[in-house]
Amino acid sequence: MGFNLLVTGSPFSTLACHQALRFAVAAQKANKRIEQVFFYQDAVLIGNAYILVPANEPNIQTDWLNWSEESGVTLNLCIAACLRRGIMSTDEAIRHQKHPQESTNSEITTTGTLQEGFVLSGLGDFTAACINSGTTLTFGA
Amino acid sequence: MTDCQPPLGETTLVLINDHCANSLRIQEGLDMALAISAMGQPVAMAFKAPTNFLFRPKFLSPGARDLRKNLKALPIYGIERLYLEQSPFIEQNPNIEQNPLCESSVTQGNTEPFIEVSTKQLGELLASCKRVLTF
Repeated sequence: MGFNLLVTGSPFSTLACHQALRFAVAAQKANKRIEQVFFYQDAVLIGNAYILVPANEPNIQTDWLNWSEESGVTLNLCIAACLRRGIMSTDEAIRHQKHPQESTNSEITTTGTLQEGFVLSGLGDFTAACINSGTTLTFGA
Repeated sequence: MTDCQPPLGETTLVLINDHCANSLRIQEGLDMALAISAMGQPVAMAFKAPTNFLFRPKFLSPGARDLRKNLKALPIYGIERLYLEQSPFIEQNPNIEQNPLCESSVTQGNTEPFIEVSTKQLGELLASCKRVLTF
């Protein structure tokens, strides 16, 4: 049985994302399994593709993406919380007619704001993972 | 509490801890509770004392949503245990009326599903639930 991590605190104004990542790294070093990472509420801001961090500052988004790549654990973002905060995949942007841009051939195109490496997911997926795994930890504000 | 309710040891408790000024966080806590209930899992909700003002419209901050209707509808969706932590501030101030949600339940001859608990009882509740999700 592994851990489910529910992260709810903003990556900018709280330490929730940092603490959750530190826990995930430490758990895996101790041979514990992380079943799922689910970002909810303001924590979904970590999936914004347009975050630009000054070069001399730590980038928590990149740190999570690197960890995800190494560990193979998917980084799930709650889709409803994302849409409330303007984070959406290209498909969602087209569906909601957001961010229209004119391309070189005068066609109207649309781009999403979801950073590659994060996956839009639902609360049902999170609940299902909770049912099937051992411990759920919340990292909030 | 009805006899058919599952024991607390199998229940997920959604704890609303936040100040009432941020109704979006509370709304998303409600969404989580509804999602868990929709998956057939027993779920209860608890509101810590600072959220007590959530139930008093005149204390809502500008732009905050009045969520009383949403809260009253929770039993329809299978969330039948709602715990409200008693606020020491309100107890010591007789000018502030009783929690309207509890008042209306009592008037109807039924104190459920809104159950007022002390801070100590809330602590015991947190310890006895299978899982606690804090918002």
